[in-house]
Formats: sequence, structure tokens, C-alpha cells
Amino acid sequence: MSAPIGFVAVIAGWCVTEVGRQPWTVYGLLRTAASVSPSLTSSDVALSLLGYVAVYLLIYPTGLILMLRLIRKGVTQVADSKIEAGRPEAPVLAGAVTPVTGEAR
Amino acid sequence: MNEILDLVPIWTLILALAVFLYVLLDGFDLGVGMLYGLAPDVPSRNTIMNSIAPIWDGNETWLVLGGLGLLAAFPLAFAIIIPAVYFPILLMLLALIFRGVAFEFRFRDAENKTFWDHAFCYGSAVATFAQGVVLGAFIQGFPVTGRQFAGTSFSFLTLFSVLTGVALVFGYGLLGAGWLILKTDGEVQAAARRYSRICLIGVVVAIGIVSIWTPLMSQAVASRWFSWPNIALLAPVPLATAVVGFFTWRALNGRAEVTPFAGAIGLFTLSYLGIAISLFPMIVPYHFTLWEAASSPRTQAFLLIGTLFLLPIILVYSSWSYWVFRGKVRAEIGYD
Repeated sequence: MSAPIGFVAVIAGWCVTEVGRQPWTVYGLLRTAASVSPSLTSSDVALSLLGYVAVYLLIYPTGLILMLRLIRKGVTQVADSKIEAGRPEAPVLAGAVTPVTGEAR
Repeated sequence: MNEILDLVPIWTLILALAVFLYVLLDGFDLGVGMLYGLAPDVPSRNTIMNSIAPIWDGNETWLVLGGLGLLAAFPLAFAIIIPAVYFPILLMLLALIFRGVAFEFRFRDAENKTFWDHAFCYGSAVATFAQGVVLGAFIQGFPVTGRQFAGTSFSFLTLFSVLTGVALVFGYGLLGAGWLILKTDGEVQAAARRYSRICLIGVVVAIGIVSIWTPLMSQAVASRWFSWPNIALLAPVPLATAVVGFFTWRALNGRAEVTPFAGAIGLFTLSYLGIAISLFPMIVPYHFTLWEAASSPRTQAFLLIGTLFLLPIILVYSSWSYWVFRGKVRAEIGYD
């Protein structure tokens, strides 16, 4: 149940930093208003923020579902990993091989 | 400090090396990503993805070094160039997110295999196109007043930058196909040969168009190449490009497995050299030189100390991972 707390802490910490340093970009030297790119309009910023939000709304829940599925599955028994001659399987292959039997799914 | 040692050439070399290595290394794995979308079945897709899985993220290290090197060593250039290519860079980053997570999600999120297959291919293609647009925008130059970018966030978008975007898709496609010829065999390799021929034609046409268009667009570039004695001294560059193009074509039609990739690298090296010759010593083309855009000698010296420790470490661990995963990629283990 405490799993989301870490995420909340990280994001809250980031917010505190960003809000807390206003109105400075470089404390005491450069104000945020003076450091904005002149060519960048607010609609440009809105458009790019929208892009990030859209991508994260897709990626983040997918990652979350994936992690929850892994948790539900539980820890698989770790057998001796099959490494021949010091050369491990390429990661994608390794992921498709079940650790217990070492056989392909 | 600056009387003793001018650090600008050193930083120019580091930046040029970082950008070049990025273009070559992430270039071929982005190209492999695009070709992945053309693979007919699951085993060949697995082989293609396996051929870059251990190394693709290491390749992107050079983008970080290039970007931060520009910010730290040439801040004026960073301040003008990055706002000017804001949207292509944004598009590239969003596309790289899709492409990066596709490696993880494709195999572990089995129900949505198809979506992440597409994310991998189109993410690679969009990121490549966006990088080509950045290149075109850089070559055509930016509107500048004083020390600021004076255009809008969409000034980058011209026929020329779209052309260079498409050109880079063929270019990375050629590098990627060369990599697949090197790393795979059988049906996947044969398909890579077919695609590499199409890509090579695209690359040669694009090099030709850009080589004619750029001097027409800029008086400075025209006089750099066509004034005497430069025209004689620099003639080997286009001649070598033609020779490398010819031998790459021959290698693609033969049985050579290393030459196609080497030829693609050769074409990229000569094109990169051509751009450097056209624009040197400008870092913000036609406005500011490397020396005008440089940070203070003390800043450059401070940063150089850390970088000189870091560079060999990156080079060693990158080479090591290539060495560990050397040889042909196999996918003989069956997949469902």
C-alpha cells in the first residue's frame, strides 16, 4: 500500500524546488521572466505540454499495469542462469526465457 | 589562461566527436528500428531487435554529451539554436520515449504486442525525421538579432529542412541495413540488402540535392567551395563521396558483410566533413563563430577536466559492450 508514497515524494519535492526558487532562474542574478526564450509563445508551451501529457497518459498507465502484473505474478524461483562461455543471451531473448527451466516459452 | 591555451579548438573537437558518434551509433540503431517495421514475421523481428538491444541506449549517451557540451562550452549557440529547433527537438524526444519503452513493453506486455511494434518503428522514423529537420534548419541558418533568435518556433519549417529530414531517414536506413547485414544472416540479411539498395539511392540523391542547394542558398558556402584554390583543395571530398558511393553499391550487390556498413559510415563521414567545411568556423551559421559563442576560458577549463576523465570511461564501456555482443545475432530459440 505504501508503494505510491515514493512517487508522491519525488514529484512533491520537484514542485517545492520549482515553486520555491521563483522568481529566480539563477538565484539573485537572473529572473525567470528575463530568462524565457523570446521566440517561445505561450501557445507553443501549451502545445508542447499537451504533447508530453498525451504521451505520459499512455506510457505511465501501461508501465503501471505492467508492474502490477509482475507483482501479482510474484517472485519466480531463481535457478542457475544459463550463461555459456561468459556470453549472456541478448536481453530480449533472455526476457523470453523462463528462469526456472531455461526453456523458451 | 586564454593567452596560454585556447580551449575552443579542444571543445570544438569534443563536440564534433560527440555529435558524429551520436549520428553514426544512434543512426544505425534508429535505422534498424525503422527497418524493423518492414520485417515480415515475429522471428525476424526478434532477431532485428536483438541486434541492437544491448547497445542502443549506450549509443544515446552521445546525444546527452553533445547537447550538454553545446550548452556548457558554447552557451550563446545553445541559446539561439535550441529555441529555433524547439519543436523538432520536442518531437524527437517524444518519439524516442515511444521507441525506448517499446523494447521493454513489447516482450513483457504481450497483449499489446502490435501497438508496441508500431511504436518502435514509427518512433524511430519520427525521431530520425526530426533530427534531419534540425540538421536542415542548422545548415540554412537562423534569423538572429543581437544575441537572440529572432524567428518564431516554426521558422525551422522549410522545404529544405523537410528534405534533409527525409534524407536522414534514408541515411539512417542505410546505416541500419548495413548493421543488419553485418549482424544477421539468412532471410533477415537478404531483406536488409534489398532495403539498403533503396536507401543508398535515396542517400546519393539527397547528397546531390543538398550539395547543389546549399551553395545556392548561401554565398559564404559557395565561395568556400568554389573560390580558388579551395576548389582544387576540396575537390577530393565530393570525389571521395562518389567513389565510396560506388563501392558501397557494389558491395550491396555482392556477398560482402562488412563493406556495406563501412561504406555507409564512409558516406556519413564525408557528408559530415562536407558540412564542417561549408560552415567552419560558424557554430550559429552565418552569425557567430565558435570563438564568439564560447563560454569563458575558465568555464571551459573547469569542464574539460571532468570531460577528460569521463570520455575514456564512456569509450571503454561502450567498446566493451560491442565486444561482448560481437558476432551474428541468432534467434534459433523458438517463440510462440
